[in-house]
Amino acid sequence: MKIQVVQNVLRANDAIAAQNRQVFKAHNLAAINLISAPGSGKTALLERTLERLAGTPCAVLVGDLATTHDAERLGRHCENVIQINTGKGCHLDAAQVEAGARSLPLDGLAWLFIENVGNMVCPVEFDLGEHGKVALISTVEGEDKPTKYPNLFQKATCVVLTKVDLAPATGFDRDRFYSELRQVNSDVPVIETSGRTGEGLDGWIAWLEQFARQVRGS
Amino acid sequence: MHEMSIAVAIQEQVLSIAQQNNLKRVTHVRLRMGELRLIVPEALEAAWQAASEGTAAEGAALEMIEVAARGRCRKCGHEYRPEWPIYLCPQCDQASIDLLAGEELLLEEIAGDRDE
Repeated sequence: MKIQVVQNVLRANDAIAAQNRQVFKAHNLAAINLISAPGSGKTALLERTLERLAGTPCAVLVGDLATTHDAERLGRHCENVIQINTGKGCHLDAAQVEAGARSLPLDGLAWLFIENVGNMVCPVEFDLGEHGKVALISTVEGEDKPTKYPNLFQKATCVVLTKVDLAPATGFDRDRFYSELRQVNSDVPVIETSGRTGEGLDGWIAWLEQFARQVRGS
Repeated sequence: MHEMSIAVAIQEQVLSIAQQNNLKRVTHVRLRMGELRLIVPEALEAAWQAASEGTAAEGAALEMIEVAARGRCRKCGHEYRPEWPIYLCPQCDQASIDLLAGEELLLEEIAGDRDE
C-alpha cells in the first residue's frame, strides 16, 4: 500500500530553529551565523569584534569537529563562549545551538555569534534560528568562490572579505570577485576587513549595529 | 557529508509513518528535492542504505524527484528559473531573487506491506 505524506524532511531541525529564533527574539538578542571555508578568519574576525564590543554582553557558540582551540582564543575576549564539537559532523544543527544556548545567560545578551564549522556547503542547508548569515571569504582564496559555492553567497545577509592586508601579496583580483559575487547576489553588502591592521572593522561593527536594530525592531 | 543527517531524518519520519499505518515493511520512499538543494543523490542513496539498515525500511528504494528552481526578481518582478550557479534575471540582469521553488526537500510518499 502507498501512503501520501508530503512533509518537510528537515522539519525536526526547522522546528527547533524556529523555536530558537523565538527565544532569541524574546531576549532581544541578535543572532549571527558565520559561515566560510576553514581558515578564512572567522575566529579572528570574532576576536576583533568582541574587543570592539567590549562592554556589550556577547556570547559565542563555536563549532568544530574537535578541539577547544577556538573557544580558548575567544574566551580571552568574552566570558560566554561555548565550544560545540560535532565529532564528524560537517555543520551545526538547530538542536546543537539550542543546547548551547541553554547554558548561556540569555537575559541581557545583545549578541549571539555562531561560528559554524568551516565549510561552505553543508552549513547552508541547516537553519539554526539565526537572524542572518554572514559569509566570509579571504583574499588568499579564489575570487571565483561566489560562483563555486553560490548557495552561501545567495543566502548571505552580509559578505566579509577578510585579510585584505594580504591582497597585494596574493594578487587577489577584487574586480573579478565583485563581478562573480554580483552574478549570485546583486544586493548583499560587502565589508572588506583585516583582523591584523584593523582596516574595515569600523564598517563591520556599524553593519552589525544597524542589523541588530533591524532585528530588534522587527 | 550532510547527506547522513538528512538520511537519518528521512529514516525517523518513514519509520514513524510506517508504524502509524501498520506497515510491516517499507519498500519504497519518494522524495521531492529542489534542484538548488546541496544534496548529492548518490551520497544520499548511500547514506539512506546505512540509515535504514536493520529497520523496517531496510532495502527500501529511495526515489528522488527533482523540482526545478523558480523565483521572482525583486527589482523588476520577472519570474524565471535561475541557472545555478548564476542567479541573474534575464530581464534586468540583477541577481536579486525571491525563490519560489527549488529548495524543497519533501517526503512525499512511502509504500510498503501491511501487517496481516
